[in-house]
Amino acid sequence: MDDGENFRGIVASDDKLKARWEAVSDKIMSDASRLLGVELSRVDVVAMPSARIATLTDAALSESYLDEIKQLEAALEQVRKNEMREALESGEEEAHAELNRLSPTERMSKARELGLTGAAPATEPSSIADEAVLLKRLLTLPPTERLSKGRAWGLIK
Amino acid sequence: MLTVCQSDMVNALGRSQNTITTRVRGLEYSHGQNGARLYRLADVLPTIKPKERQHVPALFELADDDGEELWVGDNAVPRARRLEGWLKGGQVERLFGARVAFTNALAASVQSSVLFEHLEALRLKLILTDPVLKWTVLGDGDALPPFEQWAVPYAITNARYENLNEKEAA
Repeated sequence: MDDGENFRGIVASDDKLKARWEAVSDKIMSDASRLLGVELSRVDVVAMPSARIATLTDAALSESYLDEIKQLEAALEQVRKNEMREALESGEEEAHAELNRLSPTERMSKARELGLTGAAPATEPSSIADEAVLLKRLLTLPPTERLSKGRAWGLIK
Repeated sequence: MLTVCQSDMVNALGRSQNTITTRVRGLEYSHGQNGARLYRLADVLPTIKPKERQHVPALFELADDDGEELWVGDNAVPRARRLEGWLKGGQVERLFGARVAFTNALAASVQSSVLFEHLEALRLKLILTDPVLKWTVLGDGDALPPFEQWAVPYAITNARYENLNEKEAA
Protein backbone atom coordinates (compact mmCIF):
# COMPACT_ATOMS: atom_id res chain seq x y z
CA MET A 1 0.00 0.00 0.00
CA ASP A 2 1.57 3.30 -0.93
CA ASP A 3 1.26 6.10 1.57
CA GLY A 4 -1.14 8.11 -0.60
CA GLU A 5 -3.58 5.27 -0.23
CA ASN A 6 -2.82 4.96 3.45
CA PHE A 7 -3.60 8.66 3.94
CA ARG A 8 -6.82 8.36 1.97
CA GLY A 9 -7.83 5.41 4.11
CA ILE A 10 -7.32 7.34 7.32
CA VAL A 11 -9.21 10.36 6.04
CA ALA A 12 -12.09 8.29 4.67
CA SER A 13 -12.61 6.61 8.05
CA ASP A 14 -13.27 9.84 9.93
CA ASP A 15 -15.87 12.48 9.06
CA LYS A 16 -13.99 15.23 10.85
CA LEU A 17 -10.80 14.48 8.97
CA LYS A 18 -12.75 14.28 5.75
CA ALA A 19 -14.19 17.76 6.26
CA ARG A 20 -10.76 19.12 7.13
CA TRP A 21 -9.21 17.40 4.12
CA GLU A 22 -11.81 18.98 1.86
CA ALA A 23 -11.24 22.42 3.32
CA VAL A 24 -7.46 22.11 3.07
CA SER A 25 -7.44 20.73 -0.46
CA ASP A 26 -10.03 23.28 -1.63
CA LYS A 27 -7.85 26.07 -0.33
CA ILE A 28 -4.71 24.67 -1.92
CA MET A 29 -6.41 24.11 -5.27
CA SER A 30 -7.95 27.56 -5.34
CA ASP A 31 -4.68 29.22 -4.28
CA ALA A 32 -2.76 27.26 -6.88
CA SER A 33 -5.12 28.41 -9.59
CA ARG A 34 -5.27 31.99 -8.33
CA LEU A 35 -1.64 32.63 -7.47
CA LEU A 36 0.23 30.28 -9.78
CA GLY A 37 -2.24 29.67 -12.59
CA VAL A 38 -1.99 25.94 -11.98
CA GLU A 39 -5.01 23.65 -11.91
CA LEU A 40 -4.52 20.80 -9.45
CA SER A 41 -6.70 17.83 -8.70
CA ARG A 42 -7.20 16.31 -5.24
CA VAL A 43 -4.94 13.45 -6.31
CA ASP A 44 -2.11 15.95 -6.79
CA VAL A 45 -2.73 17.53 -3.42
CA VAL A 46 -2.47 14.19 -1.61
CA ALA A 47 1.22 14.16 -2.51
CA MET A 48 1.90 17.38 -0.61
CA PRO A 49 3.32 16.86 2.90
CA SER A 50 1.98 20.15 4.23
CA ALA A 51 -1.55 19.29 3.07
CA ARG A 52 -1.39 15.98 4.93
CA ILE A 53 -0.01 17.52 8.07
CA ALA A 54 -2.66 20.23 8.07
CA THR A 55 -5.39 17.60 7.59
CA LEU A 56 -4.24 15.19 10.25
CA THR A 57 -3.09 17.58 12.97
CA ASP A 58 -5.41 20.57 12.74
CA ALA A 59 -2.25 22.73 12.66
CA ALA A 60 -2.38 25.69 10.32
CA LEU A 61 -1.26 25.04 6.77
CA SER A 62 2.53 25.33 6.60
CA GLU A 63 3.71 28.40 4.74
CA SER A 64 5.88 26.38 2.44
CA TYR A 65 2.85 24.92 0.66
CA LEU A 66 3.18 27.22 -2.33
CA ASP A 67 6.72 25.97 -2.85
CA GLU A 68 5.48 22.41 -2.59
CA ILE A 69 2.93 23.08 -5.29
CA LYS A 70 5.69 24.18 -7.61
CA GLN A 71 7.51 20.91 -6.98
CA LEU A 72 4.55 18.80 -7.99
CA GLU A 73 4.84 16.98 -11.30
CA ALA A 74 1.40 18.09 -12.37
CA ALA A 75 2.32 21.68 -11.63
CA LEU A 76 5.73 21.67 -13.32
CA GLU A 77 4.25 20.98 -16.71
CA GLN A 78 1.60 23.67 -16.32
CA VAL A 79 4.02 26.28 -15.03
CA ARG A 80 6.27 25.62 -18.03
CA LYS A 81 3.29 25.98 -20.39
CA ASN A 82 2.19 29.19 -18.71
CA GLU A 83 5.65 30.65 -19.13
CA MET A 84 5.74 29.63 -22.77
CA ARG A 85 2.36 31.20 -23.42
CA GLU A 86 3.33 34.42 -21.68
CA ALA A 87 6.48 34.57 -23.74
CA LEU A 88 4.47 34.08 -26.94
CA GLU A 89 1.84 36.60 -26.00
CA SER A 90 4.38 39.25 -25.12
CA GLY A 91 5.99 38.54 -28.49
CA GLU A 92 9.35 37.19 -27.40
CA GLU A 93 11.29 36.10 -30.43
CA GLU A 94 12.80 33.00 -28.90
CA ALA A 95 9.43 31.54 -28.07
CA HIS A 96 8.11 32.26 -31.55
CA ALA A 97 11.20 30.74 -33.07
CA GLU A 98 10.64 27.58 -31.07
CA LEU A 99 7.08 27.38 -32.31
CA ASN A 100 8.12 28.05 -35.90
CA ARG A 101 10.47 25.09 -35.95
CA LEU A 102 7.46 22.80 -35.72
CA SER A 103 5.42 21.63 -38.70
CA PRO A 104 2.16 23.56 -39.24
CA THR A 105 -0.02 20.84 -37.74
CA GLU A 106 2.23 20.45 -34.73
CA ARG A 107 2.30 24.19 -34.39
CA MET A 108 -1.49 24.34 -34.24
CA SER A 109 -1.84 21.58 -31.71
CA LYS A 110 0.92 23.11 -29.59
CA ALA A 111 -0.81 26.48 -29.68
CA ARG A 112 -4.10 24.88 -28.68
CA GLU A 113 -2.38 23.08 -25.87
CA LEU A 114 -1.07 26.42 -24.66
CA GLY A 115 -4.55 27.89 -24.82
CA LEU A 116 -3.71 30.25 -27.71
CA THR A 117 -6.82 29.65 -29.77
CA GLY A 118 -7.18 33.18 -31.02
CA ALA A 119 -10.71 33.38 -29.69
CA ALA A 120 -11.35 35.13 -26.42
CA PRO A 121 -10.43 32.83 -23.55
CA ALA A 122 -13.39 30.90 -22.24
CA THR A 123 -14.39 32.99 -19.24
CA GLU A 124 -17.68 31.20 -18.60
CA PRO A 125 -16.41 27.97 -17.04
CA SER A 126 -13.89 29.75 -14.86
CA SER A 127 -16.58 32.12 -13.62
CA ILE A 128 -18.76 29.12 -12.80
CA ALA A 129 -15.86 27.68 -10.86
CA ASP A 130 -15.36 30.98 -9.04
CA GLU A 131 -19.03 31.20 -8.21
CA ALA A 132 -19.00 27.64 -6.92
CA VAL A 133 -15.97 28.28 -4.72
CA LEU A 134 -17.46 31.47 -3.30
CA LEU A 135 -20.87 29.89 -2.72
CA LYS A 136 -19.32 26.91 -0.95
CA ARG A 137 -17.35 29.22 1.27
CA LEU A 138 -20.46 31.30 1.91
CA LEU A 139 -22.45 28.27 3.04
CA THR A 140 -19.93 27.55 5.78
CA LEU A 141 -20.96 30.79 7.51
CA PRO A 142 -23.88 31.09 9.95
CA PRO A 143 -27.13 31.99 8.10
CA THR A 144 -27.23 35.48 9.57
CA GLU A 145 -23.85 36.43 8.10
CA ARG A 146 -24.37 34.96 4.66
CA LEU A 147 -26.37 37.77 3.06
CA SER A 148 -23.95 40.59 3.78
CA LYS A 149 -20.96 38.49 2.71
CA GLY A 150 -22.85 37.31 -0.38
CA ARG A 151 -23.46 40.91 -1.39
CA ALA A 152 -19.86 41.85 -0.70
CA TRP A 153 -18.66 39.02 -2.93
CA GLY A 154 -21.04 39.95 -5.71
CA LEU A 155 -23.10 36.76 -5.48
CA ILE A 156 -26.32 38.65 -4.78
CA LYS A 157 -27.18 41.45 -7.17
CA MET B 1 -41.21 36.22 10.60
CA LEU B 2 -44.86 36.29 11.63
CA THR B 3 -45.57 35.34 15.23
CA VAL B 4 -48.71 35.10 17.35
CA CYS B 5 -49.22 34.84 21.10
CA GLN B 6 -51.86 32.73 22.81
CA SER B 7 -54.28 35.63 23.29
CA ASP B 8 -54.12 36.31 19.52
CA MET B 9 -55.27 32.75 18.98
CA VAL B 10 -58.03 33.05 21.60
CA ASN B 11 -59.28 36.24 19.94
CA ALA B 12 -59.06 35.11 16.34
CA LEU B 13 -60.35 31.57 16.74
CA GLY B 14 -62.91 32.08 19.51
CA ARG B 15 -61.59 29.16 21.54
CA SER B 16 -60.93 29.13 25.25
CA GLN B 17 -57.54 29.86 26.73
CA ASN B 18 -57.32 26.27 27.94
CA THR B 19 -57.95 24.84 24.50
CA ILE B 20 -55.29 27.05 22.98
CA THR B 21 -52.76 26.28 25.71
CA THR B 22 -53.24 22.57 25.09
CA ARG B 23 -52.86 22.97 21.36
CA VAL B 24 -49.60 24.89 21.36
CA ARG B 25 -47.98 22.60 23.89
CA GLY B 26 -44.71 21.36 22.44
CA LEU B 27 -44.35 24.14 19.89
CA GLU B 28 -41.19 26.22 20.00
CA TYR B 29 -41.63 29.79 21.15
CA SER B 30 -39.67 32.92 21.84
CA HIS B 31 -40.42 35.53 24.49
CA GLY B 32 -42.01 38.79 23.41
CA GLN B 33 -42.52 41.94 25.38
CA ASN B 34 -44.02 41.48 28.87
CA GLY B 35 -43.08 37.80 28.70
CA ALA B 36 -45.79 36.58 26.32
CA ARG B 37 -44.85 33.43 24.45
CA LEU B 38 -44.56 34.08 20.74
CA TYR B 39 -45.21 31.17 18.38
CA ARG B 40 -44.37 31.14 14.71
CA LEU B 41 -47.58 31.48 12.75
CA ALA B 42 -46.31 28.77 10.38
CA ASP B 43 -46.14 26.36 13.34
CA VAL B 44 -49.52 27.35 14.75
CA LEU B 45 -51.52 26.92 11.52
CA PRO B 46 -51.36 23.10 11.51
CA THR B 47 -53.08 23.09 14.94
CA ILE B 48 -56.12 24.84 13.49
CA LYS B 49 -59.15 22.62 13.01
CA PRO B 50 -61.26 22.53 9.81
CA LYS B 51 -64.16 24.46 11.37
CA GLU B 52 -61.84 27.30 12.35
CA ARG B 53 -60.26 27.79 8.94
CA GLN B 54 -62.50 30.77 8.24
CA HIS B 55 -60.72 32.60 11.07
CA VAL B 56 -57.25 32.12 9.63
CA PRO B 57 -57.14 35.55 7.90
CA ALA B 58 -57.95 37.18 11.27
CA LEU B 59 -55.00 35.36 12.81
CA PHE B 60 -52.71 36.71 10.08
CA GLU B 61 -53.97 40.21 10.86
CA LEU B 62 -53.20 39.87 14.55
CA ALA B 63 -49.75 38.41 13.90
CA ASP B 64 -46.63 40.40 14.66
CA ASP B 65 -44.04 40.80 11.93
CA ASP B 66 -40.40 41.24 12.88
CA GLY B 67 -39.44 41.95 9.27
CA GLU B 68 -37.36 38.79 8.79
CA GLU B 69 -38.64 37.17 5.63
CA LEU B 70 -35.83 34.89 4.49
CA TRP B 71 -34.46 32.75 7.32
CA VAL B 72 -36.79 29.85 8.11
CA GLY B 73 -35.14 28.73 11.34
CA ASP B 74 -33.92 25.41 12.65
CA ASN B 75 -35.64 22.05 12.47
CA ALA B 76 -37.33 23.39 9.36
CA VAL B 77 -38.03 20.26 7.35
CA PRO B 78 -40.45 18.58 9.79
CA ARG B 79 -42.11 21.94 10.46
CA ALA B 80 -42.56 22.55 6.73
CA ARG B 81 -43.95 19.05 6.21
CA ARG B 82 -46.46 19.47 9.03
CA LEU B 83 -47.66 22.74 7.56
CA GLU B 84 -47.85 21.33 4.06
CA GLY B 85 -49.98 18.48 5.35
CA TRP B 86 -52.46 21.02 6.67
CA LEU B 87 -52.95 22.80 3.33
CA LYS B 88 -56.10 22.27 1.29
CA GLY B 89 -57.08 22.50 -2.39
CA GLY B 90 -56.08 25.83 -3.87
CA GLN B 91 -53.45 26.34 -1.20
CA VAL B 92 -51.60 23.24 -2.36
CA GLU B 93 -51.69 24.53 -5.94
CA ARG B 94 -50.44 27.97 -4.96
CA LEU B 95 -47.53 26.46 -3.04
CA PHE B 96 -46.68 24.34 -6.05
CA GLY B 97 -46.68 27.45 -8.24
CA ALA B 98 -44.40 29.27 -5.82
CA ARG B 99 -41.98 26.35 -5.87
CA VAL B 100 -41.87 26.33 -9.64
CA ALA B 101 -41.27 30.09 -9.74
CA PHE B 102 -38.52 29.76 -7.15
CA THR B 103 -36.76 26.92 -8.96
CA ASN B 104 -36.88 28.76 -12.29
CA ALA B 105 -35.57 31.96 -10.75
CA LEU B 106 -32.73 30.12 -9.02
CA ALA B 107 -31.77 28.31 -12.21
CA ALA B 108 -31.70 31.62 -14.06
CA SER B 109 -29.59 33.35 -11.42
CA VAL B 110 -26.71 30.99 -10.66
CA GLN B 111 -24.45 28.96 -12.88
CA SER B 112 -22.84 26.53 -10.49
CA SER B 113 -24.55 23.58 -8.90
CA VAL B 114 -23.68 24.43 -5.30
CA LEU B 115 -27.12 25.70 -4.27
CA PHE B 116 -28.88 23.00 -6.27
CA GLU B 117 -27.44 20.37 -3.95
CA HIS B 118 -29.93 21.76 -1.45
CA LEU B 119 -32.80 22.21 -3.89
CA GLU B 120 -35.14 19.60 -2.47
CA ALA B 121 -34.89 20.98 1.07
CA LEU B 122 -35.12 24.57 -0.17
CA ARG B 123 -38.32 23.79 -2.07
CA LEU B 124 -39.76 22.10 1.01
CA LYS B 125 -38.87 24.95 3.35
CA LEU B 126 -40.19 27.65 1.04
CA ILE B 127 -43.60 27.56 2.75
CA LEU B 128 -42.01 28.73 6.02
CA THR B 129 -41.11 32.16 4.63
CA ASP B 130 -43.70 34.88 5.21
CA PRO B 131 -44.17 35.96 1.57
CA VAL B 132 -44.81 32.42 0.37
CA LEU B 133 -46.89 31.63 3.46
CA LYS B 134 -49.20 34.60 2.83
CA TRP B 135 -49.52 33.77 -0.83
CA THR B 136 -50.16 30.09 -0.21
CA VAL B 137 -52.58 30.31 2.70
CA LEU B 138 -54.41 33.56 1.94
CA GLY B 139 -53.92 33.77 -1.83
CA ASP B 140 -52.44 37.22 -1.31
CA GLY B 141 -50.79 37.99 -4.66
CA ASP B 142 -49.21 41.19 -3.35
CA ALA B 143 -47.25 39.15 -0.83
CA LEU B 144 -45.36 37.21 -3.50
CA PRO B 145 -41.70 38.18 -3.63
CA PRO B 146 -39.99 39.13 -6.91
CA PHE B 147 -38.49 35.67 -7.24
CA GLU B 148 -35.77 36.69 -9.68
CA GLN B 149 -34.21 38.85 -6.94
CA TRP B 150 -35.42 36.85 -3.98
CA ALA B 151 -34.45 33.29 -4.93
CA VAL B 152 -30.68 33.58 -4.41
CA PRO B 153 -30.80 35.39 -1.03
CA TYR B 154 -33.37 32.86 0.18
CA ALA B 155 -31.30 29.92 -1.04
CA ILE B 156 -28.05 31.26 0.41
CA THR B 157 -29.66 31.95 3.77
CA ASN B 158 -31.32 28.56 4.12
CA ALA B 159 -29.03 26.13 2.28
CA ARG B 160 -27.84 23.46 4.69
CA TYR B 161 -27.79 19.70 4.76
CA GLU B 162 -31.17 18.57 6.07
CA ASN B 163 -32.25 15.08 6.91
CA LEU B 164 -35.07 14.62 4.43
CA ASN B 165 -35.81 11.03 5.45
CA GLU B 166 -36.44 11.68 9.10
CA LYS B 167 -39.92 10.79 10.22
CA GLU B 168 -41.68 13.49 12.13
CA ALA B 169 -41.42 12.98 15.87
CA ALA B 170 -44.79 11.93 17.27
